[in-house]
Amino acid sequence: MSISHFPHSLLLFSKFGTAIVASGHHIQSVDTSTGTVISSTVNASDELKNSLSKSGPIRFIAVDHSWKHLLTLCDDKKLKVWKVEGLELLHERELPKRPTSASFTADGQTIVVADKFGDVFSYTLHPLPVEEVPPSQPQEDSTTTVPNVEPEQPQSGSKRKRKSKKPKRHENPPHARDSVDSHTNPSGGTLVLGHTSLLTTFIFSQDEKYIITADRDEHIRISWYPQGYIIESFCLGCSQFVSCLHIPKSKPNILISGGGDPELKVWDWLSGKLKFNIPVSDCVKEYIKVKAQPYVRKKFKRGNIEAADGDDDGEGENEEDRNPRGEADLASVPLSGTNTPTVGDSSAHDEETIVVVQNIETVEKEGKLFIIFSVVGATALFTTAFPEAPSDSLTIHAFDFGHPVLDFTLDPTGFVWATIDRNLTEGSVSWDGRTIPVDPSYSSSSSTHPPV
Amino acid sequence: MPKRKRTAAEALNPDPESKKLLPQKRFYRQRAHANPFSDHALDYPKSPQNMDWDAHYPAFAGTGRTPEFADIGCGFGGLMIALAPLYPDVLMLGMEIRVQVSQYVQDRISALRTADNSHQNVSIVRANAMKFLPNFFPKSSLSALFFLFPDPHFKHRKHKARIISPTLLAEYAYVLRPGGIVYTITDVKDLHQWMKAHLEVFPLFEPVSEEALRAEGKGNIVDAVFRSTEEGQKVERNKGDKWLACFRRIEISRS
Repeated sequence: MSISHFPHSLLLFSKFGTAIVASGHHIQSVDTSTGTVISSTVNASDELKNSLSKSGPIRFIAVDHSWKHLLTLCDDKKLKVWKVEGLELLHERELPKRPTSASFTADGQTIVVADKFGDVFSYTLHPLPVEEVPPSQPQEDSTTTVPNVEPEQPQSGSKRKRKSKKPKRHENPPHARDSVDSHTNPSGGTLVLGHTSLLTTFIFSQDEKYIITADRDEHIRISWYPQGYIIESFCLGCSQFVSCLHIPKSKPNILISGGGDPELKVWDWLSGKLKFNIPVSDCVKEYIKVKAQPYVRKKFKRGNIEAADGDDDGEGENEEDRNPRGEADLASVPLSGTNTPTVGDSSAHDEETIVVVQNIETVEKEGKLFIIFSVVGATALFTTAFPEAPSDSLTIHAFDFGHPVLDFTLDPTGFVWATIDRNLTEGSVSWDGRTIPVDPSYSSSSSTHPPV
Repeated sequence: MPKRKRTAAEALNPDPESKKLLPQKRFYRQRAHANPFSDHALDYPKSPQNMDWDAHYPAFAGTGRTPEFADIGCGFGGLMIALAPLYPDVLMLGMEIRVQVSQYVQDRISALRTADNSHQNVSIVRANAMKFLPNFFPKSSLSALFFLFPDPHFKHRKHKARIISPTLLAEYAYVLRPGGIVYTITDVKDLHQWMKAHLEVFPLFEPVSEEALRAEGKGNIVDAVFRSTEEGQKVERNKGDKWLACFRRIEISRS
């Protein structure tokens, strides 16, 4: 199956005239002036392609400031680091839990990863020498945040034995009952901080003295970095999960957050004070064409979508991903306009449009600040002026592409680059990714729009 | 353990009139554990500013007072009930995740309030303290945090559910004011070592001995920590050991 069947789902843009796009489980780097593909993992060795397809679709990519290294996060618990030039896979490291977000520090030497267990770990750019053993040999394991643990010699011994027998099953070696290690890390990561809820995203303050983490239980937490154990404040007041955070370049004290709430929230993050709400839900709703499949418990789901007969594993959490194994997921995502019959009694949920803000950026134009944001499943990008006073009534402009926007980014000149899913428009039924071939060249599935 | 039969004496002499008001534990039966990671149907404020403490402490309404003692996993509320008369001006809040148990404490407090107008300074919320502690308490608002006989979560896989962990300690340090005390006590030695080890290495806490606390005049709190909780009394009946570990919140400056 060719990669071209998958829309470019993630996009990054450099000031050096290249862009990196992720599509399915592949990544490509593209010349932004001509649209030619510079390098792509499609042309990689079979071995690498195999391991990429095993990892599943790429969920997250990030590049360091100097545009030397790239990291990707997939559905497995691996942190892959690539050389941007030539897209060469440098190494992959095992993470303790499935990651949700990651970032390079400004100097590019540290990678910070947030995971689904709510923890944030930091890793060195390259694995420490100890771990550069071939994967067939047992790795030194169980680094812990508590230094005074008992030596774990017998445990690593027993782990060695187990590993050789069943390398997959015994991820947790047996522990002594009185062991006090709490956050074991297979790759020697340093625990920065942790929430009890799943972390959705995080960012650094511009001076990198603070790390701002957001979770699915409405919290935005401001902690010191790297002393993540000191909490400066919480930005509290959301009533839904938080899914994206942004600090405008020209206003380093301001944090814009978006998520499941019907508004964007503007905070003075250091004090945790809410400055403004920017209501977006009403303007945005009409553009949401791809709707989330309501969560149905697996056992009910099984019976109902038997016809679809997919190896549905009940993980359809990101409805915008079109992955090859999720055929059943795709078939059962309701499309407004087509009234595709869907899972059981979920018709009641179809009426309900859930707004999930996906990405927020700001751009400065003629001395004024504008917010650009995307919404999961919407066919448009949205812009609004940054409010100067709470009483400002803001109009939200939508740039409708006619196809769902998957990701967008800003280039240094202030142009907005967006990737859209050409496979899917409203009313299109055959959007399983197989029937409509898409021109693989970059420019066909992305378009530029002047800011505001 | 088989159900304990009521003795003949108990059956013949029902509770004296004064006790009739108090709720009876046997009507509030609940299993001992709740999963702190699952989504319970919880009612919690969006932020501490949205918390209406006047409803919890009607006698203190309008004074602007907020809780200073928090008993995390207060169980049947024995500690707060014992401490309330000792610190009548300090508001205390118990947090308990189990529905029936928190309801019992609620009923117990209202019974005590109606009976002799006491215990105006204690209240209870059903809450998941691991997730929503900062929703209730602003930064540096507490002077004491109690973790008394917490769920030991013996299995290693379950250690992450323990109420004391390196990541959660950051939140406890956030809600405690500098100088505030964390009291932990347990009858499980492994858990004691776990809590002690994590609190000792956490940069914002320093150990404080029982003697030092008594010298500061907090002896009555320490005594209550040892003896007033239902769990503590049970351990005493079974002649078990109790391990106490207390820590003081300290401040560190950014270098």
